[in-house]
Amino acid sequence: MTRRILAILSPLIALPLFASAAKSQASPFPHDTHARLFVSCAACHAGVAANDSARFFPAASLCAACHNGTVTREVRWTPPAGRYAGLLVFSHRDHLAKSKEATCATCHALADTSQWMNVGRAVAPTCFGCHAHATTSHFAATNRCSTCHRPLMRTVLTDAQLAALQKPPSHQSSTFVTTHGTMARARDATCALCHSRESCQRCHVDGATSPVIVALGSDARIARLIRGRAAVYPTPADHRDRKFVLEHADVARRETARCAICHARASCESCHTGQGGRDVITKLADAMEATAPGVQLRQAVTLDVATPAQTTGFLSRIYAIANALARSEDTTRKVRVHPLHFLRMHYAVAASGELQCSGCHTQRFCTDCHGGERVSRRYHPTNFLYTHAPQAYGRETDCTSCHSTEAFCRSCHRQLGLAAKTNARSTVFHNAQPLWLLQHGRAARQDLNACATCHQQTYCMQCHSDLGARINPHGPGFDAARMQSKNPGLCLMCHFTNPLAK
Amino acid sequence: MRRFIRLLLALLPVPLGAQGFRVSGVTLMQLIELRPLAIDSAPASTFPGTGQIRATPDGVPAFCSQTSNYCQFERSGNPVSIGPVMQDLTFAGWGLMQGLSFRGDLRARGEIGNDSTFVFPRYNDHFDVLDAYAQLDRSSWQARLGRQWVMNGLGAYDFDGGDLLVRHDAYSLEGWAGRALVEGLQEPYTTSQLAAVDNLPPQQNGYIFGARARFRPDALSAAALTYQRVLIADRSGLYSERAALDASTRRLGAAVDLDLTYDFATGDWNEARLRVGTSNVGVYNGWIEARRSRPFFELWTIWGAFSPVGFDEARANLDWRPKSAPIDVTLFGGYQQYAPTNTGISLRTNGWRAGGDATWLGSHSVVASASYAVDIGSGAAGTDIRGNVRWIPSSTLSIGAEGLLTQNIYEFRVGTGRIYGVVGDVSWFVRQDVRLVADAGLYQHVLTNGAPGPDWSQRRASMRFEFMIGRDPGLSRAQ
Repeated sequence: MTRRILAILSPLIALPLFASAAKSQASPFPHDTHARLFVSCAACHAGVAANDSARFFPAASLCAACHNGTVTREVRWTPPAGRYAGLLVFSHRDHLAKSKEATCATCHALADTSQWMNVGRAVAPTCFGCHAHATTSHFAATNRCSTCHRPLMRTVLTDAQLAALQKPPSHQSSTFVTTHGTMARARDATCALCHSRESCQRCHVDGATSPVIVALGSDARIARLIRGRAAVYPTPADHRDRKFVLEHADVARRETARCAICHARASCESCHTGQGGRDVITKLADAMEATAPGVQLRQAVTLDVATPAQTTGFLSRIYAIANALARSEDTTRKVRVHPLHFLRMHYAVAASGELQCSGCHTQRFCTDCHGGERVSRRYHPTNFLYTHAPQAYGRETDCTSCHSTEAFCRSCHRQLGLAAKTNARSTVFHNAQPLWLLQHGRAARQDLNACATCHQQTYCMQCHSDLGARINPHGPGFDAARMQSKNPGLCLMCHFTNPLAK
Repeated sequence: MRRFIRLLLALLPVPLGAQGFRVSGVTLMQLIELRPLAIDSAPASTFPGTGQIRATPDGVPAFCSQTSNYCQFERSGNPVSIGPVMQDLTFAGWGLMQGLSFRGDLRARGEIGNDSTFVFPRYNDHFDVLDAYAQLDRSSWQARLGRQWVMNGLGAYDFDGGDLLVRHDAYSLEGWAGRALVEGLQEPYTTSQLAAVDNLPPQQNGYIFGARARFRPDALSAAALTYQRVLIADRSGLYSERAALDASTRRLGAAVDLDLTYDFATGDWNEARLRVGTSNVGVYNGWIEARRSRPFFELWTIWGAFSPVGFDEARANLDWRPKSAPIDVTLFGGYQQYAPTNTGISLRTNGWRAGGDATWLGSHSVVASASYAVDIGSGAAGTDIRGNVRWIPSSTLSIGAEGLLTQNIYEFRVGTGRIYGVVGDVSWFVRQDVRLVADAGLYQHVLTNGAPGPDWSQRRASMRFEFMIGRDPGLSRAQ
């Protein structure tokens, strides 16, 4: 019954409360013109006191008693009908019952006059004459909105009217984005008064499964208002800790629902291309389930810094171009997963297992480099073929971890004419040292791995074996017995008989 | 291809339609121009001086044999253009039962447009199976069978065999065994690839046995102890027997990494490295490192018996990243000192390297960087200067350009020269699972001091095409 009464009265009491939609208190019916005709409000609004919606407004026949074209001109009047479509919850019967002094004029009389039937729509200040807020602000957090207001979804407000609604000051706080979840989950949450699930699904990836969001219901008008507005993903405080990259596994398992707010599976899969974290990742929304773009992580080894405020000249133009090219709705975050130069010093963390490499990388990722030939990873810089010699001599990195010295290095050196193809000396190669043959011993002991990239074993055995000049290549610390115990046949490559058999 | 694979799956007796598969591939095509050294000769009378070691009028050293009327010297040969083409294919399938998956990495090589006898390293080996194994993964253990590889402190070792990993809380124990493949080669020890370049190649295959224990008490600390030996097939000896200890922690406000590798055949520590650095990213970050390095040789070669010596090295790296500007500057340096060789010969016994690089990031769309590095050491020295600009207009497109100047000096031979180069590259994700990368460079080599080295002036280009069909296990479908 109440709904029906309110539905009838709504044009009178609801719409005026919207500043943009109904700033006038005037009623479309010229009450003052009829002042001398009616002696009581109930003559026309007979059902108000009883909440009888059928008699809330006069029937058209009552008007036609005079407005019949003979007594006076005809008018068209159809009593409003249908569900309550305004923003307020209001019961005339309850108000009249609770206050014996209250009359229709108490709320509907225009403020600037006490003339009979000079009435109009009730306005919010009139309500506050009795219903003072506990605080002075209409939007105070302690106010119970639902006392007077009903959800927007149950109104017939237009898109423009919805768009004109004022955002509560609490929503404008810089911390509201990160703290509103607690409020939304509270028993006395008031989100539903203004929001449908589309409001939340603008940013919430888990908008289709979150009980709080689903409970809001859907509204096409709000969806239209939200459309095109970029998602906002502030970085939580704990994410700013560099260790978070290493430690987030425990947090993710413990607070998966929290992750699911901003992250779809794609977020994790930016790094977790392998099996690591599957148990958690599969609990997140996939691309088909996600209701928002979510935070999209992008691995980067570049800096994650903002454009300097004080930049002039050429740099400022570069910034301007770059920023213009950046999409405003881009939710990408640059994440330095590994520190600078990690590629060249990753062996310790990889070998020790500090990082579970397989959690992010497939085996293929490793074999791209460690498979012997570079395929897709730019591990070596351009021009490396020309510049690799100093790094190879200085063992900057372990070449043999990826390349076979013989099959890779020597093969190329031979074809380029750098390596000796036979055991015979044909040209001058180590010509920087006129007495190279006498001096090569030190160079060989210091850089024997480099020698092996050109010379075969038999080249050296021409002198350093029983087959040749029998020049002893072993250094003073050479432990022949130890080496022989590991491979007895090794000694016999140069010695005719076991050199230790004495 | 996708239709074909789905059809294949549908024909299998087990209903695999709901299972997963993935096929990815990389096609790499290169254009490389080379000018190998060629041996030339001229009448000895045209070479001033006497003796075996003389020089051409241009200063190129020549060898004049006492038994010949001609002297031989080296010059740059005719330019050679080669076009190596590499095709990698990766297959992965899973879903028959919980934790069971299959994987294979295949590689094919070939050459196009080769107008010479030059063969790019390994390109006469037209087909390789890099790995092909079945894996069963459960919460507390994992088993693999087939051609696979293990990565540990000793390097990356391929083998045909089995691997079992058992996990329990912070501990894990892994063991592997099988037919050993040559490190970096994916071929058995008796492969023709070794025989083609060494006239004393291994005569027997090898069997690999290894074990690794890991301890990972928390997310910021870990340690691993690895032991591995490669046994000669006839059990007459070993090709290698080594151990490694790797430990790493980010506790106590510092990043500490320790690497040790030990060779049981020589009793030497091949690598001993301790690095201490900052663990939190701030305005200043850096690390210092102490290292001892000694080369390791497998026992099918005689090199280990030649008593190679190592060097001790101290290194440092400092990174400066101000909060007020989008730049990152890194400075690094190191000093090496070789151990005594006991040869009584005086050569350079130390080396040093230093340099720095700076990166500027206007936004995530524009990145510019420059670097300078000098490396002076035993055997070779070089100086390298580079400048690079990269424009990333979208997440699917990246365009870069680089200019460089490099100078090399070889101590153990006359050979100095400079390289001037310009390189451009483009990376374009045609779709999320299809990528095209291309680069092209132009290099000008200026030989100095009468160096007879090969002329490295050339054009160089490559094009890489990457694709993926299917998805990773558990991953959402490609969008």
